[in-house]
Amino acid sequence: MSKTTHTDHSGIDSRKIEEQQPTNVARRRFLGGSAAAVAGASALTGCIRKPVEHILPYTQRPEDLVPGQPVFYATSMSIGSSVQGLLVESQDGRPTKVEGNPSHPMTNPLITSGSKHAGTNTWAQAAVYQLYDPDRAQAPNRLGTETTWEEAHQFIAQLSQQLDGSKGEGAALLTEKLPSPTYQSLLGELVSRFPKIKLYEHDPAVSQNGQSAAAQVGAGNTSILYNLDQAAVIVAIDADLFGTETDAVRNTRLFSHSRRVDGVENPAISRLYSVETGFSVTGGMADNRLRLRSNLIGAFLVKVASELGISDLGVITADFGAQQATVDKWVTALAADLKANAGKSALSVGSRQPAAVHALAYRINVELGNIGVGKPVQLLADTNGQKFNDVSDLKTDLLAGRVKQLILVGGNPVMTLSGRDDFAALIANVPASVHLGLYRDETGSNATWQLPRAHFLEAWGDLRGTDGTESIQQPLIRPLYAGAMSPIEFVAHLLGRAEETGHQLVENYRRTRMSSGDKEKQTLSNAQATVKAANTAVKAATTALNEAKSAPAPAADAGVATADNSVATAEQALKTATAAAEKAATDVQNAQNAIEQSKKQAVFLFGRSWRRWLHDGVVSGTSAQTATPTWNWGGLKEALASDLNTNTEGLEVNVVLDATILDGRFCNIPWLQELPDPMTKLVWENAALMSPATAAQHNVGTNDIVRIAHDGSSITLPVLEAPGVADGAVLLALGYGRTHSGRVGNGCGVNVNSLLGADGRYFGSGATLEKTPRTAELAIAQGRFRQEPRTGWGSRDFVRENTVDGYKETPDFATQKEQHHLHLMKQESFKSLWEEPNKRDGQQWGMSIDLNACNGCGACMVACQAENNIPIVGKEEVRNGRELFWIRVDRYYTGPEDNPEAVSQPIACAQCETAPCENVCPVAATAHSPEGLNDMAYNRCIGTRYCANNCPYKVRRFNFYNYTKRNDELLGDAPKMQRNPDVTVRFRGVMEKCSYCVQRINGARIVAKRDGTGFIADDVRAQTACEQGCPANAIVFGDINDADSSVTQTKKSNRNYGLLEELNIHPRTTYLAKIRNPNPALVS
Amino acid sequence: MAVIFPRWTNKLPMVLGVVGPIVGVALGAGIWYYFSPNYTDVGYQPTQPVAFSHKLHAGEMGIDCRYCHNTVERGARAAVPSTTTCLNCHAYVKTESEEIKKLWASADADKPIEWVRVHMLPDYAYFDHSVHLAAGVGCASCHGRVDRMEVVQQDQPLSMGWCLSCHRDPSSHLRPRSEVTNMDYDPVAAGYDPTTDPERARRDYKLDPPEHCSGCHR
Repeated sequence: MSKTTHTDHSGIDSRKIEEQQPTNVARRRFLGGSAAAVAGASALTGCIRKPVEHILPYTQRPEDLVPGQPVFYATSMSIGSSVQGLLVESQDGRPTKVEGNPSHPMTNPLITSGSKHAGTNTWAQAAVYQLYDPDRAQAPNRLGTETTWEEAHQFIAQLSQQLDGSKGEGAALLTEKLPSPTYQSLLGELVSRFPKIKLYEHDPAVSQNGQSAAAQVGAGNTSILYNLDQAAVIVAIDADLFGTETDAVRNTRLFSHSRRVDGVENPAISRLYSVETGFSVTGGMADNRLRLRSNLIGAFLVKVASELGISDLGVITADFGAQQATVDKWVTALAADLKANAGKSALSVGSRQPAAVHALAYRINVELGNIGVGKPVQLLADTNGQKFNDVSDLKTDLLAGRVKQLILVGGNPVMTLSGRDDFAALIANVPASVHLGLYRDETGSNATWQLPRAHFLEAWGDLRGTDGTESIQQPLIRPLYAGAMSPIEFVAHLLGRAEETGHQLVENYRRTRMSSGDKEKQTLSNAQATVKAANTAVKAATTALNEAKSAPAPAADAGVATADNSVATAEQALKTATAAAEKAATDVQNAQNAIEQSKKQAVFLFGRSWRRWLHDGVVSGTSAQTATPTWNWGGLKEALASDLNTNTEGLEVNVVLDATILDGRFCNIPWLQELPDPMTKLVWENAALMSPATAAQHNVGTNDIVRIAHDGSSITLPVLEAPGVADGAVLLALGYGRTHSGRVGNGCGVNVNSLLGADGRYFGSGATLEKTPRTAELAIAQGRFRQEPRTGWGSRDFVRENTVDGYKETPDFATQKEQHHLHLMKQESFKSLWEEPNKRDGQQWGMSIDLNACNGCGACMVACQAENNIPIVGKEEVRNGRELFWIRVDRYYTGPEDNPEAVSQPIACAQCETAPCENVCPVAATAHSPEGLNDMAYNRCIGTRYCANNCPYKVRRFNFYNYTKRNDELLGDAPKMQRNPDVTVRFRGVMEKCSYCVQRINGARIVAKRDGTGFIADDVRAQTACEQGCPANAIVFGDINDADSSVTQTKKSNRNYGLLEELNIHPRTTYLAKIRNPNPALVS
Repeated sequence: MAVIFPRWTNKLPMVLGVVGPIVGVALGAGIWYYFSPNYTDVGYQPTQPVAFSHKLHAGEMGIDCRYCHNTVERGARAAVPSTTTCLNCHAYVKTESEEIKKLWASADADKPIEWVRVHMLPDYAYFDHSVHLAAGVGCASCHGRVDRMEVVQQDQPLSMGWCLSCHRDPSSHLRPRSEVTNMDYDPVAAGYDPTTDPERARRDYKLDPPEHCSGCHR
């Protein structure tokens, strides 16, 4: 009742006063105290009334705005060259949730087949937190001192003048990959204005080795688009196609589409081979997986190529050691499968592999005829880039002191370039350096100037996806920190166009691009043609007029000298000329009118298209041209010989991109720090991942802190035994161990960039491992709930999987166990002790999760966190098993421990019809709704935790502390703006769990009742956040009472099974069993 | 031997036996009533920054509720009108009034008028105006005769029990959709029967207000 804060405050204050005051209470103070007591008493009576709240309406409400009603805006984001089209939810002006844009072909690649599902990845889901990250750079900073934007603008103007004077001599610009046409065209202007400036591009999220390989083999300025739905065989060579590689969202969706078995006669699903060092989500999805040290992977591919009949590659000797027999078997089987599926296969090489391996992949794909329109591999012209120099040149120039001005746009090269170079010191030595970044990170703090960059949700921009689709980025909110610049505004500023806003820059650029294309553009170009014709007419007419004016003069002279007829001719000529002049003048007038007219028309047409583009999130008619390279395999043999180092001595260190924070750019987002790694389930830090065999060989185990030395550099970090990692290799995730990340990311994990090769290599042999006496306590978000799968009849098959052949043999394999149970026990034995509560009328909600599609990426977890106001709990509390995820993704290893397969299984509250949690709650805080939801009433919950104990899935989460309040106190107010106003923020001591996003169901229900009959049709139903965010479209939610709903259809599959259904709990969430398609030749 | 208990203590058990229950019952009843929203919330009538009279505008002038609270049919909130809505009329009407000058001050400075909230639901209860209007719940059912209030006050307790009493049996509180903002309409007196309303039948509209937790709590 006393929700007021008055009493609390006075309590705290008086305690403080007592602490500060001497203990002898003087009379005056006593009187003061009693007066305070009286005031307190009156405050108490006052407090029975709720605290006074104010309503602040708009002074002038924008048209069509309904306060409290969310509005969605289309925009897009890029990570490296991956572009995702997004729809961002805005609640009363605050961006709160990110969804995929179904109109954008990179997030909805099946758009042409009528799909309405657009996936996202974890980073897109977390973007909205990054916007509100309180540790973002907020004001310009000069040499460690905050300064004003006026001074910063002056500095940029000065820099621009200097560049003008020197023509860019001694200046270098290092940018992150930003696939923005406007940005790239501005860089082009920069180069033409300052011809001697050197441009560099560095971005770990982009396969720079792949790009240089493309240039080598004659496919320069192209980008690869994988049409995995067209592929029968997919080979991922150290490539995390569904995780850290380019266009992972698109790949995931197309791959899951190629694995459909329901409603398909004689299912022929694609086959995925994965050859990799670590265990990625792609490896987890693979039908056949070979773990190899990274430096042997190239040699392996050479063997495959030779087996395919490519004979001019030279001899690469490699010692596969104990794996020799396996490798030989693989080479034969893989080559045979590729040959059999020539033209229907895709071979993809990961960004960590050297350029020669990428070049070889081009070669193999070309040999197999895999490249082309409608083929699994598509090469598209990438017209969107500038000519960038090699970053190693920048290092040389920096070392030689030749760089006088260094401009850094985005990125954090100090952390992502090799630590051996000490890039920080190199930057600090440059006389004038400026870094435009979201954070004053390791790079920004070493630059002379750090300028706050506007987040993509705050700024105008445009992006071009790999497939050529362009989209406009529109701001959802003004920059939270006034003055923050977007990269295009910054470069325009350098060009002396400070007065142009981002909006104008993008609009002007788009206007220049509107020349040919669809209908609207055609009309415009027609109008332009009219202008041109009119202009020509004006010119001709003017000339005619001038001629006419000059003609009479000589004619008249001649007239004086000669006969009358000459005068008559002259007069005639004059007459004609005057008439021509009059006509010309009219033409001029007409032409000018036409110009005005067409200008007006152009403005109108552009405005119309522009609004359409903003609404759709896609610029209509944009696509990429198919590239037809002239292949040049000349240098391939030499490149392979020089690039492949097959030395297997000692330990191989592998620096990899992290599955949750990528290269460290998302290091300060607590959602992503607490998001468990899809495979190891490690949170909040990195570790030295190695196979249990390798760990045993070095006599270390999980949590032992070791020193790993390679090529003169060493790092110290804990070991984590990770099944499935190649023996002899150790994996180290980039992006941790940061010092200028912010309050969240600082000090998480260990910086491993000193083990990156100076030449940019991601791996190298000959490392040594030394055990230290210290141990750590890694926080791993799985294992506590371990329920050892027993073998035999009593086993509990949490995940059920089969091969395609097995599935064809026993189509009902997924439910055989339940059928067996039914056989053993009489039907009455399944009766509940209680009256069956499951009502079956009206709308009944249910969910289906396809394990065949899920790769465990975790997008659902972050989506759920953003939608349902789930706070992070921190590393310590994860160790205690107190994380609050409403949906988690369990990863199960199957098969032998040293070389397992992995299956991921998302688990959220299954809304059991006979929920075991409900009948143990002493206060009825959790009860069933008539629509089949297991409701949780937070206000009733007294925190006995009986329900969690009785939940067989362990999906109920308890607030051991007031995590939300604690986080707010730690991080301040900004992240509060992200909260979903439709979901209660939970307090300490209450239980919480998945609600099937009941706020969305209620929202749809309200609309249905208001505007219709109250029935929520399947095509307008609410999507749960996890369903909507899933890039694989693995989750389907809906009304199981509606025979036509997609969830009912999905659940009809013979792969449909309920988790722990033998407990007679009737879960509403069921799973579809996984089907693998392994090569029979490789099944041991 | 000293007397430990004086003589009057002999009566104590009897007195306690009589007084105790009376005090107990009084205390219980006191808490029951005085700590309930019926006492604490009903009649709450804060002073507003602008002396706006609903009695004058909605009552005597007969301005429809939705002229100002125009989002009520579309959104969860019946939004308080923006300053410019007031000025639609008051740019011409009673322009010299001190109260109207406050509106101009607000509009000129682009600073909202800080109205004091009268009807407050807890943050964990999610109420949506639009769906209640669609079901035919009249404004007056929850807000009382606002058209007779000089200064708005809370008319109903807005407690969970009060909400549920209607959700369990809404029929006597419903009216035709056209009469939603009509303050004078009395569904019982008018003999309105929602089950036979052809408009509702046409929309196949069921009268099934939620009674489960997640109906209002998310």
